[in-house]
Formats: sequence, C-alpha cells, structure tokens
Amino acid sequence: MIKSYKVKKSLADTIIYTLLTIMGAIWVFPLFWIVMQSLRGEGGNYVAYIIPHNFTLKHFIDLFTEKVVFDYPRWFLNTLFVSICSCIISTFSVLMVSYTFSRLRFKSRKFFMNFGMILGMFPGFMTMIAIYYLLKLVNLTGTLAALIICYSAGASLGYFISKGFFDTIPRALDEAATIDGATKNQIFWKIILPMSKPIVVYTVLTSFIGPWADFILVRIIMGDKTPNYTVAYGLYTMSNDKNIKKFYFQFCSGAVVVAIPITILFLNMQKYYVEGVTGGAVKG
Amino acid sequence: MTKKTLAIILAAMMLIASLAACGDGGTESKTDSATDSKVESTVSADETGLWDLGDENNITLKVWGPSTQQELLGKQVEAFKALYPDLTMDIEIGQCEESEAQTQVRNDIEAAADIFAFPSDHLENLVSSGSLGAVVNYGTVTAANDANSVAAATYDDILYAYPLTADNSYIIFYDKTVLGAEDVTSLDKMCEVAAAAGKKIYVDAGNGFYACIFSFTGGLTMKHNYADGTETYGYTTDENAVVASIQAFGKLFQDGTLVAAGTDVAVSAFTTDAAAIIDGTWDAAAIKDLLGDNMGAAKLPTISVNGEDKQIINLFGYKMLGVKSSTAFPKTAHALAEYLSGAECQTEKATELSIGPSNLEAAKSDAVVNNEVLKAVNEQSAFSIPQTSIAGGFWNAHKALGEYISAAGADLSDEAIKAQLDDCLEATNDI
Amino acid sequence: MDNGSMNAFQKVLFKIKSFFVGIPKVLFAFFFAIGNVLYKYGKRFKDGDFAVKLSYIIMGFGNAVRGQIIKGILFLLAEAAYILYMVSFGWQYISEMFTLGTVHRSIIEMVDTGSSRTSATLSTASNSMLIMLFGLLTIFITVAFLAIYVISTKSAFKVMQTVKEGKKPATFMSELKELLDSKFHCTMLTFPSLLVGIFTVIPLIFMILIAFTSFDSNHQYPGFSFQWVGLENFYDIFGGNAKKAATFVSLTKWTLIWAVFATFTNYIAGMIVALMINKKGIRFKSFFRTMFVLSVAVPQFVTLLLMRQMLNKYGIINEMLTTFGWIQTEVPFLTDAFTARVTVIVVNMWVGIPYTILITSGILMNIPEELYESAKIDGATPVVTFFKITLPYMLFVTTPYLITQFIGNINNFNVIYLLTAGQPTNLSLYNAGDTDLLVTWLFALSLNKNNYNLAAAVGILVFVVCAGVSLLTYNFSNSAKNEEEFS
Repeated sequence: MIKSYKVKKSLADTIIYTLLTIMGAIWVFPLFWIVMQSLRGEGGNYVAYIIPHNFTLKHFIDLFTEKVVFDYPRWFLNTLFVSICSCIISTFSVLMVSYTFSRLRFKSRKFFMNFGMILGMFPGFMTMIAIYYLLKLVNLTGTLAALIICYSAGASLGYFISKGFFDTIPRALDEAATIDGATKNQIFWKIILPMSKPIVVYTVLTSFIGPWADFILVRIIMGDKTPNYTVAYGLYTMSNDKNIKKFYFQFCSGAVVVAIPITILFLNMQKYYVEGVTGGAVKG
Repeated sequence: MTKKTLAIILAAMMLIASLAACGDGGTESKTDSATDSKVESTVSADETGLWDLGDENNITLKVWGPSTQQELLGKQVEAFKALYPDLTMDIEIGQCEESEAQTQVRNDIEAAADIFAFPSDHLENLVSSGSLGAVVNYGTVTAANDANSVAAATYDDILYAYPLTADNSYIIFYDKTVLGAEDVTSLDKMCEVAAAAGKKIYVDAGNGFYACIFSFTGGLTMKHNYADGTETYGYTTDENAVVASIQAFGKLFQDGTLVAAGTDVAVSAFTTDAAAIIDGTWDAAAIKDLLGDNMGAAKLPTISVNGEDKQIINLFGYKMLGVKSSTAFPKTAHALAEYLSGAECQTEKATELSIGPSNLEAAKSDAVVNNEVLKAVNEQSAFSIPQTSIAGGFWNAHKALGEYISAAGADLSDEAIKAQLDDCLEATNDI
Repeated sequence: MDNGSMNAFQKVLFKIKSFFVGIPKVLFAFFFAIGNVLYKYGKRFKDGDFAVKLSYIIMGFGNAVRGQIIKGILFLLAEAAYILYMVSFGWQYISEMFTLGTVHRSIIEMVDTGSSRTSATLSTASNSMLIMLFGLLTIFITVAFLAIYVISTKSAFKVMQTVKEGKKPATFMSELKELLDSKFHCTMLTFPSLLVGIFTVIPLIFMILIAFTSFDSNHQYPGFSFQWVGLENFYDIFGGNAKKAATFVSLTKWTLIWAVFATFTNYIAGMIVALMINKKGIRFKSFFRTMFVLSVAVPQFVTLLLMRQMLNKYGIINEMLTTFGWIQTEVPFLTDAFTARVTVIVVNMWVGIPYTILITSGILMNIPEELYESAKIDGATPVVTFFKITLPYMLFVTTPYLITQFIGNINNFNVIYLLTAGQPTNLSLYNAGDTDLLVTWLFALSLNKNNYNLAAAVGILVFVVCAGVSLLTYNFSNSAKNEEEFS
C-alpha cells in the first residue's frame, strides 16, 4: 500500500520535473536566443541556427563606442536617471495615497477612491497630446524632467495593492502610538513604513521598470531631442524596418544590456515582490 | 484649516501657472507677428549664386535630417552659411527620420524644424494641415529636377517641396554566383535558374509598397482626386490584362520559387537560399556585406503574361525637403532648402552616402553613373509610377492582394482574382 | 463572507459599483451642497463686521487685521495671481471655448507658381486644440480659485468670532502643525492629487471633449480650426458610417474574445505551473521559478519584437519545425487571421504566466491543508482536486484580480501592437486588421491618421466596455454577497 503510493508519487514527481524542465526551456529560449545573437560573430541577421559559429564581444563594444547615430550609453544613463527619480516620486505618492485611504478617515475619502479607480479604465494614449501641450506650457517638453513627471504623475492611481497591504497591518499599533502621543505623521514614518518593506520594494520595482519599457510617450515628449531619448525608444527606433538591417546586432546587444540591471534587481527583490503583491492583493 | 492648506497650495500653483502663462503669452504674440510679416517675395539666386534674403538677419533656423546623414548635413549647412559671411545665422541640425517628420510636424509645428525631409507619400497630409509653405522659386526647381520627382512634390498643381532624392524605390539585387546578368532581365528565367540551383527569389508581397507591382505591371493606372483624396483607377488596356498579370505573379508564387517575405528576412536569406530579392537602395550596404563582389543589381525584370513579356512597373517614391509654413525666416529657409536640394549637395550625398539624386545634373555625376545600384534605380524610374499623393487605403489594399496571391493554395481563377482586384480598388478609397 | 474578509480589490470594485448606482444621489447632494455653501456665504457677509465684509473683495483682509498676517497675505496673493492669470491668459481662451476659434485661414499674398494655379501665402487659423486645452485649464483654475475664495471668507468670519470670544487667533505655525496630525490626509493627498489632476484628469476630460468635435487630419492647426459637432462621431460608429460601424462591432467582439482567453489561459496555466513548482517534494523550487521570472526582467517590447521575428514565415520556429519534419509548409503564425489570433493568445501566455506564478504562489500556500487531506482520503485525483478545491478557492479569493486583469487585457496594447500590429489586413474593416483590438485601432487612428475625434470616441467606448464588464462580473461573483454592509 505504502509502496504503491510512493511509486505513484515518484512517478508524478518525474512527470512534473519533465514538464517544468520543458516549460522552463520554452520560457528561457527567447532570452537565450537573444544573448546568442548578440554574441554572434558572423553576419546575416536571420539565420536558422541558434548557436553562433563564432563568438564575439564586438557588438557590445560597438554599442558603447559608436555613438554617432545611436548614443546608447547616454540613453542608458538617461533612462537610469529617469527611472530613479520617477521611482522615488512614484513610491512616495503611492505610499502616501494608500496610507491615507487605508488609515485616515475624512469626508471625501470615498469619492477620491472611486474617482481613482474610474480614471484607470480609460485608455491612456489619447491624453498624450494634451500632456504634451501642458508640459510645453511650462517649457518642459524635450527634457528628462518631463518624462519623470509623466511616469510618476499617474502612479498614485495604482494605490489599491499597497492599500490592501496597509490594511493588513493591525490598527492596534496605530492606536497604541496615538496614546503615546505620536502624531499621524510620526506614525506613518516611524511605525507603518518600517513594517512595509515588501510593499515598498514592490512599488519601487514596478515604478523603476516602467521607463525601461516605454517607447510611446518618449516619442511624443522628446520629438527631435535625440540626446534625451531613453533606451527603450532608442532600441525601438533601431528596430524599425530601415534600421534593423544595419543595427540588428546592436539591437540585440542593447536589449541584453537593458535586461541586466532589471534582472539583477528583480531576482534579488523577488521575495519582497511576492510578499508585497500577495499581501496587498489578497489578505483581507 | 485643512482647506486653507489646500488653498495655500493652490495659490502657489496659480502663481506658477500665471507666470508660465505670461511666458507663453509672450512667445505667442511673437509667432503671430512672424506670421503677419511673412510675405514671400521671389527669392532667386542672382548672378553671384546667392539668394536675396531681404532684410532677414540674426537668423535662427532648424533643419531636420535622418540620423545617418547628420554629419553631411552639418557640413552642407556650414557651406551655406559661408555664402553669407555678413549675416548672423544660427542653424541647428536636428535628428528626425524622414518617415517620422510628418508626425512630429503635425504634433507641434512650433517645435518642428523649419526645414525637414520627408517621403513623398506624406505630402498630402502636410499640405492639407497647412504645414508647408509653397516653393517660390518653382521655375529653377522644376527645371533642375527629374520631372517625376517634381510631380511627386506637387500637390494640386502647386509645388510644395524641394525634390531631394530619387531612389525611394526598389530593384533586383542578385547573387552573381547563381544568376547571370542575362538572367535577370526576365523573372521567369530567374525563377527557372534559381529553382535549378535550389534557390529562391524573394519579394515582400505583404507590403503595399512592393505588392502594387502585381497590378501596375498589368496596366493599372490611377489619378488622384485632390478634392476628396480618393483615386480614380484606369487601365492602359483593360481589367483583364491586370488580372492576367496578377495571375502570372500568383503562378510563380504557387510554383514555390518566388516567395513572399519581409525585406529583413530576404536580405538575410542571401546567406541561405536567396538567389535574388526585390529591395530598395537603403539595403544595398547590408547586402554588400553579405555578398561582397558577388552582389549584382539590376532594374526590375520582365514577366511573361500569357506568353508576352511585360516590363514590371513599380511605384517610385521620392524624398523631399519641405519648409514649414510658419517659419520666422521664410526667405532664408527657402534659400537653404533650395541649396540643400541643389546639384552640389545632391552630388555629395550620392558620393558619400550612395543616395540617388533627383537633380538632373547630380544624376549625371560619376558617383551615380559608376554606381551599379543607383544606375539600376535610375533605369527603373522610366518604368514606374511616381509616388505622388495616394489615397490612404492604397497600402493596405495592395498588401491584401499581395498576401492573397502569395498564400499557399490561393485560388488564381479569373473570378477569384477579379474579386480580389475589385476589393483592392475599392479599399484604396477608404479614407 | 463577512465584510472584514473583503480584500482591497473587492472593496474597490464595490466602490465602483456604488459610484455608478449612486450617481443621481450624488448629483442631488452636489446641488444641495452648492446651495448650502451659497447660503452660508451670504449669511457670513450679513453677520460679519466691516473687516469681514471687506474680505469679500480683498481676500485675506479679515485675517490680516486680526493678526493672521501670513495667511492674509497668502489669500491676497492667490487673488492677485488669479486676476493676473485671467487678464493675461485665461480670459481669451474661456471666451473662445464655445466656438473653438473663429480665425480661419486668409490669404496674405498670392504667389505665382508658374502653372495653371496660383498659390497663396496664408495666415494661420485658430489653434482650436490649444483653445480647448487652455480653456479647460482655466475652468479648473477658476473652480479652484472659487473654492479658495469661499474658504477665505469663511476663515475671515471665523477669526472674527474667535477674537470676539476673547481667544487668540491660531498662529500660522500651529495651523501648519495640525497638517501633520488631525489634518494629515490633506498633507498626504495634496501632492499626489495635484499630479493626477494636472496630468491625468485634465488630459482625460480634454480627450472626452475631443470626441464631440471635428478634430481630424483635415481640421488641424495651422491650416484649419475645428468645431463642436455634437454626437456625430458616435453616430458614425453606431451606424451612420457603415464601414466604421462594422469595424467597431467586429473589433469589440474580438477584443472581448481576446480578453477572456488572454485572462483565463494565463490564470489557469499560471496556477498549474505554480502548483507544480510549489508541490511538496519538488526540489530546485527557486531554480524553476527563476527560469520563468527571468522573462519578466527583459522589457516586453524587446521580447515581443523578438517573438515576431521568431514566428515569421521564415523565422526560426518554422525553420526548426521543418528541420524536425513536423510540418511540410510553413505555419502562417502571423499572416492567417485565425492562426494569428491563436498565436497572440499563446504568446500572451508566455508574457503573462510568470506574473501569475508570482502572484498566485503565496495564495496557493494559504489554501487550508485540511481541504486537500480530506480530498485525498476520498481518493480524489489531482485533476479533480484542482477543479473541486483549488480553482473554486482561488476564484473566490481572486475574482477582483481577474477583473483587473480582464480590464488590463481589454487595454492590452503591447502584445498586439508589437507582435502583429493588427495584421493580417482585413479590407472589410476601416483601417484595421484581424487582430486589432479597440485600443490598437484607437492608436492607429490617432497617430497614423490624425483622426483624433474618432479615436477619442472609441476611447470613451472602451471605457464603457471596461466599466460595464467590471460591474457585470462583480454582480455575478461570490464576493458581491454581503457587500451592502461594507461602508
């Protein structure tokens, strides 16, 4: 009886291992492929084999040294700068808003919460042209500051996950602190925030990744200010019909380089990300 | 008191907004006056080769060119400035791909460059939104450039832009180890030889720009109606001839030697199974990298339609320089545009970047005559339809037709093709 | 399920529902509140002394004379700023909002073109778009200013009462201090709501207004101004223009089909993978998880562009399948209507499953072990266990997550745009292809065709679809029970 159970179990496990390995391979394959492409020494953009015949680091060196047409290093630093700034602003706005909705009670709270949800249901593209002219009004078009504003302005609308997380922190803590004479300001900074590492990390991660992936807003905001492009738009222009034949390898190596910081961050922070999103989305 | 805080913050916001408003009000009145004072008189080059710039001085202009031409453009602009040592000119070079210029100009014409390059199919949108100023020195420009390129820069009888290139079209690139120069005069012959060698011939049938050859070769013509932006179709012989030519292409696709694939795939296929591809000059360098001296270029071949060899007719696009209608220095801007599109600058472009000139003098230069690719393009231009303003649905309409005949197992009967052609012509006028 | 166990999503969804249901009530309350404000505003003027009455014209006067100097000055500054703004900038746009500009092109000078027609140097038309945008901005600023104005009169009156009672008026510092405690929500919300207000709300209202104008490629600055056209664009979509109407119906259908498949394939498959990884006795858990999660770290547009190449007729996947001898002719992954639709759904699984794994892993661990134990005793197979225990539990807990995913998929731009760009072309549709979603159509209309008005109308309809779906689903889902008690 026990033996057959064990056999069954090990059989099931074998099947699971096989399935997971196959699926894992499928998921990793495109990433593996692009890394291989970026290291390929021989020409021909589309080839029917995966492992290059010759390996080279030339494309990576080109990427960082041939800056006349595509100033990749500069765009990389732009993106890093925009990402860091917008992630600081976004994180604070999201945490402030969600803490307020979770902990403070005031007259128009419900209205604000509903309003925020409804705003999220409109497709965002149409507003780009209006945003462009609002930024132009204050002379910000074509600047990195404009991008930072755009990426962080709407961030607080995504308050619900972190609000859900704050809801799980016992209110008794606040009450005890209030009795000890702490103001709400102190409670937020000294008690709630230190306990919210997962959700802080989650928010930081999601808002950090945004600017590395956007290729639509940059085009409208930056216009001809090529020195202020971000990598995502740079890579996107590299990949258009006319450029891709010439810059195929740079595109591949550029994509690999973009993925590096995000991958490192993500793998290190994964644990908190999961805790944050699970805590925020589900525990109730 | 809570609301008072809000009040304070709003007050601060208003202050900022009003400051910004003042700033903007200032610039706006400036633009208005610029528009008012914008009276274009004929700026013609006098005997010294200089344009009359009127009383324009302290000139600030911006020129857009594609990323790959920045260096040359900078040199040419400096040369123009050197013609006017007495005037202060601040001419900024901006980077904007030709295909992107239209979007940027229409998004914000104030921030757009005074002079920008764009492909001929964007002319209509730029004119209809009022973004372009008409060419004043039409006589000189018309005489200096290829007639088709002038036609492409003309909208409803008015010349709106300075023809800049005449190579936005496609030809045959072939691998000399597979095909000989005598083979590439006939598509049927090419297919025969390629098939024997186990190779293929690539054409981007899923792209209206290339796919229109299927019907143009059969004698499809079109005339643009400027009033409503539609096309009126006609036939040099009749509809049956067009159907027959589409069928002839379809048959080659169904035989399997002619294959439909994007040009990116096609170029790479030279490392595997491509004997020849139909592609534009912009890919010449990439192909050269792969084939080296074995790269051949020729004008499009003939195709046998019902036993008769017909020259393949294609669509020929041009790039041109436009001057935005709201430029603050119209005389200098037009003069600079004329200079940048002149014989000298076009010859430099052909020499340094292998870009085919629209200027007749530049077309005779060594750089063009000795360049196999540019020569082929030049020959093809005699068998082409100039890409003037085209109804918006054209691209998708012909793309769908191309996709249809190149799909495996497509029905090539007269009725089926006729129905496809009718759909295609109708969809062209979907604006 | 008591209201305590409603999670954040459920609560928020409930709020959406009550928002729509409560619109008439809210409207009534709104007008009542305005009346109330006006009444009190008048009453304060009547009861106030001279300083208060003067504050009705010179804002902050009442505060300043009674010692609240900083506050008084701030009110005065607000008034000055507003007047300056209106005179220099705002007034002109507000007054043109009704017509959206009356300056049309006029001929400045005729130019001989040497052909049968002459060209003209033309003046520019009104920039209707800017008139509308700045008009809207001015309306917002005016509303905000009116609020400050009413508040300032209230404040002047209050400080008068305080002084009358013989108390000292609150100092500026003490009022600031309150912002960190009892009025902390103002401090916390001001900055984020300013950002949202300026960069989300105003542009959104602007877009909604555009849907009622003639703003298209033929009505654009500097050539032409545009006008209000009422419901014309909606009329076009709903049958006035047969082709646009057919396109809308067809794209809406596909958008909904896509959203259902994209949401549930990711959800169920992701959960199964998560269960496999987290199964007891399976080793290398973090290795397997990392394999999946790696794909999240590469920007989506890169992987999607890559996929497009790989799925090409002559791409590596077709090549590999041919080499293995599994297929004779290439699979038209992206060129045949039906296959392309299946392909985008499958590729979307590649994109989405890692997220599902991340999100569901934690919840799956929370399922009470007893449920599984008893199922095991009853001899249930893993498949039965999954459909009888895991799935119902997960659906119960994550319905709201599913709804947000569903809405996200209705608005999913990247996958379709980058993978197929709406292709294959379908000539019976207006400027759209077989895999186009409403959002990608909207994008093409606005960016390629400059058909802003139609795009805006489509945008509003997308919103209606999203809101409708979330309301419907919410009403049918388990979590709707007991909601009325939640406040």
